[in-house]
Order: sequence, then structure tokens, then C-alpha cells
Amino acid sequence: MRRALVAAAGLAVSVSLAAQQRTKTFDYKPVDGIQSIQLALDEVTVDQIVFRTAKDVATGPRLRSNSEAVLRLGNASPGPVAVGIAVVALDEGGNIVAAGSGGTRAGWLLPGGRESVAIRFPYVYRNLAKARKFTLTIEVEPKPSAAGPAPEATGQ
Amino acid sequence: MRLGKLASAGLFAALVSAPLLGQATTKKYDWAPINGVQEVDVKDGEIVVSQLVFDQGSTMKGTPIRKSSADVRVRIDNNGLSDEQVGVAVVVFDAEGNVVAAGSNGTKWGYLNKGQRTYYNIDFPYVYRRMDQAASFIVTIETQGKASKGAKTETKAETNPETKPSASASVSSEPLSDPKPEQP
Repeated sequence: MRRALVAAAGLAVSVSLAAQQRTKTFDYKPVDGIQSIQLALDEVTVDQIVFRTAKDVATGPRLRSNSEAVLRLGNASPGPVAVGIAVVALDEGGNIVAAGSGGTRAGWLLPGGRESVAIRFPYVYRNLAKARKFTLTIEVEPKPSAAGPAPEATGQ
Repeated sequence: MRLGKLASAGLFAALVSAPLLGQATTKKYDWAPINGVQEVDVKDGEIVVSQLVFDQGSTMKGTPIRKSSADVRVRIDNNGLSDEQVGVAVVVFDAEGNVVAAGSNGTKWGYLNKGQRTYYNIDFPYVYRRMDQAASFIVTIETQGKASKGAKTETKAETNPETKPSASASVSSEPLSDPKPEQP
């Protein structure tokens, strides 16, 4: 009986701590690259995205664009979390014109914390100016309570 | 007479530049890898993506590192007669339209030479925790021919009609629209 209770409690904890996701698609309408958005999951929010389309794509034999999206995220929840964010920008025909992910690299984003996450688009970037919409997915993993003290997060 | 010469020159320039335009092709597939391996057939001109090898990776448990080693290995062939720059993007969705993995990779140096095969690893370091819920994925190939720098780009998309996601999937988020079918 006791074992069953312990197992049930463990299952409940693992379910509640499982990573959650939320997804939203936005029209691509940045002004000077900046677009205000609202995406939230468990009080972890993304409220701004800045698209930086590289004017000077690497020339010569080395091919790598500096295009990127920088997202501003905040943790208004009561506990530390690890956050992943994926961005997929699409043109009118449904082609991916940019895709990537960013997030917490190490440690946890502490309650009340805010950080910028840069997502780079180094290899699929040539049609970014043709973007018509973009999809954001936020993935939130709460810190397990049994772990030690949370170190400060270091985002990308 | 002069007008005719100009028209001929313009026609010649158009013919020369046509195959060099940057292009993109997109295809959507159901998630059905066997031991991580899934055969696909995404073609942009003579550039072909024929195989993806998904690895759901792992994280360094017990450390502060949150990055995952999840990735997909993409096999690309240039079956054409000219060298090309190639970019490949892969986005994996669950049944509800959430992105469970996304990334891109491509030519880092020079060109993918005609007749050559190469492999690109696309990492999924930050969004990976629900990759076991994958239900479909889309692949986009972006190509640009040699000497077409600054050229106007054209895009086209095609959907694999056999692998459209099931209509019964519940969507809690705003879903991504399917790529539009290729125009004849």
C-alpha cells in the first residue's frame, strides 16, 4: 500500500514537472525588425521578437548568414524554469525561410528573471525578406524540487 | 535593328540566369522513422534530400547544462551539372502543431559540387523535450546556383499528398498551414 502511494506520488510529480509547450502563429509584421507579441505558458512569457536580417551575408567562399531573431522572455512564475523557444518563419508558399531554436543553455531562469534569447539563421536565410508569418513554440521545463539551489541561467 | 540586338541580348541573359536563380522547395511527411532512419524525396532542381536520420539525443543529467544532443543527419546529393549553395531546414511537429524540433544547416564553404554527396547535421539543442511526440515534419531545401549572387529568388512548395497530417488531430495552438501545392 505504501509502495503504491509512493509510486503514485512520484508519477504525479513527474507529470506535473514534464515539459509543456504552447504554440502560436503570427503575421510577419516587424517595424524596423521589431514586433511585439504575446505568448505565455505557465507565466513564462515572450513579449518581443526582433528580426535582424543580415544585409551583408558572408561573401567569398565562406557561407554563413548573420540573420537572427532575438526574443525577450521573462519568468513571472514562482519557480525556476528551463525554457526552449523555436521559431519557424514561412513564406506565402509554405516554404521555411528561417528556422531555429534557442533557450536556456545552463542553469535555470529564476523567478522574476528576464533574458534575451538569440536564434540564428545561418544557413537557410536567403528568402527571409519574403516571410509572411512565423510560428513560435515555447517549451517550459520546471525545475525539479529535489535538485539543489538553482544557478543563474545563461541564455544564448 | 538595334532594338532586335538588345532583345536578343536580354533573352540570352535570361536564359543564362534562369537556372542560376535561388529556389526553395518544401515537402511534408508523416513521422515514421525506423531506428531513426526515414527515406524522403525532396528535390529542388537536381538537389535531392533522400534520407534523414533522427537522433533524439540526451542531456547531461546532473549538470547545469540544459542543451540536448538531439539532431537529424540529412543526406544531400547534387545530381546536377553545376555547383550549388544549399541550405536545408527541418521542422518537426507534434499532432497538435507544436514545434518539437527545428533547425537548419547547409553549405559552409564554397559550393556543393556537381555530382557530390554530402551530409549535414541539424542540431536541436534547445527545443527537444517532446520530440517523442513527433507526428510530422517538413523539409525545405534552399539552393542558389554559382554566380547568381544578388539574383532574384523564386520559391515553390509541394506537399506530399500521401503524408498530410490527420484531420482528427486536435489543435490547441494556431496551426501551421500546409505548403501550397506546386503550380503546374
